[in-house]
Amino acid sequence: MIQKNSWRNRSSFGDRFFWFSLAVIISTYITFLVALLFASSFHTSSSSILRLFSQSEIRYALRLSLLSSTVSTLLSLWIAVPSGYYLARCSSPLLKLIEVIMDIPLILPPLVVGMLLLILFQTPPGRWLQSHIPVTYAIPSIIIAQGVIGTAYAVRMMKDAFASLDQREEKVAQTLGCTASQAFWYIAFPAAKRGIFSAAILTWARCFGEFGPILVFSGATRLKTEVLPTSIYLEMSIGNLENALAVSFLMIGVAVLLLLAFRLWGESASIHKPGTAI
Amino acid sequence: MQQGDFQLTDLSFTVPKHGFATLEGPNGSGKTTLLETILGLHSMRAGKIFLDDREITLSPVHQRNIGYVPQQGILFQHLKVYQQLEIPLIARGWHRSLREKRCEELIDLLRLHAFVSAYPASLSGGEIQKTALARALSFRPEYLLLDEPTAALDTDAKMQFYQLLRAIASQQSLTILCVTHDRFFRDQKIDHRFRLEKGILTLI
Repeated sequence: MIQKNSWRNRSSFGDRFFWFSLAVIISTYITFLVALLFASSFHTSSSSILRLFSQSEIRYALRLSLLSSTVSTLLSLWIAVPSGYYLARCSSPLLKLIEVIMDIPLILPPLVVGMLLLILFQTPPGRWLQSHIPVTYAIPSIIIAQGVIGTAYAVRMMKDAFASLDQREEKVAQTLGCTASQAFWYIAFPAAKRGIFSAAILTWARCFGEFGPILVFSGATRLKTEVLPTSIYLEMSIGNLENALAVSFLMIGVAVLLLLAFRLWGESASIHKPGTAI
Repeated sequence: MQQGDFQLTDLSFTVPKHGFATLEGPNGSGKTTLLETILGLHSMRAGKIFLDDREITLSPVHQRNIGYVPQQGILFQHLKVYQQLEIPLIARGWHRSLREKRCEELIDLLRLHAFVSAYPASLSGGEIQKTALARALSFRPEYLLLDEPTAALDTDAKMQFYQLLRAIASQQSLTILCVTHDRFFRDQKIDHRFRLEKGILTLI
């Protein structure tokens, strides 16, 4: 005879202790993050944050941050989706070396990435390109700097997303008449859309907060190459801690709102549901 | 051919046209590897594969035109049953109206009406196998390979699936090779039975 509450009976003290331990760890981390924001909130006020919108430099930096992060995320995914699929599906003795090279932007300090970009664009091919399109210390340099770091993150995430799919589905698709390219577009790509969406969100967040390479490669010129992290740096450099914190809270607010909106949209627009491939 | 830690060598067998053949043998004897090699999913070091007079040894997988029902069905998890049937036809560039007509034929033939709008996650073992069979037949192949098609089915479902398969095979003049180690097939009237054990293939 099956007992009522049999599931509850199976939840032993050991099980409850296990889940309680996990809850303690996550609670501790969340408390730490909230404490970080709470402690800083005493050094600024909501009026300081609202006052930021009356400053044309901050409005410009906010617009540029949103625009550059979105463009660099799209460019990152354009490279990361095919690269991640290749790394997840192909076997080559050079694969490990390729992966290490693609991880270089993650290993290097951000300032060094900026410095390397600056040097690259001073080489003859870089100068030739700049004679047609201004890059260094201009808006394209911000997108490139964010894109270099963002792509490295996105490639890793896309490789994991494709590796977690059942490769047999693509093989079966090929026996049904799909070429390798059709198996990718009809089977692997739609099946990985959840991973692609997560990669897009995290890459966008990474690009939005990028600072080191932008400072070196793009400079920190107000109303020209100033993004929100640059604004924080400029405010701190003139000793205006209250304004720097206000911009920081603005960044947190914008990022949290947009990421939340993306996730809610993703769930409602069947990004997380199967069956929207064709 | 070599796969994992064993290799198949010096195998030669012929399935007569429009015949129904089974390939039996214990687990790990290389039955699935042999089937996947015929499909082009594994490379061969030597030997040749013919479909009638057409040599397909070096043909790409997608050009072999062999219907394939893999073990456990392997349906595309993000697609509804109807969309599963459409995939081979989309890949071949069939016009939408022809695709719809063919899908309706398959739905009638295999009686898929009740779950045609369902995703694979909500299907029973029998429904998965019927969908996988319909998908494999969608592009009208002359040859059909099945890998343990009855492994996840109960006795009644096995008999239903087998009778359906035989009916379709005779109706569409299919040549069938079915890999199995299910005792169920021993009680059925099969045209040709092969056994693969320890790398040796015999006609029984």
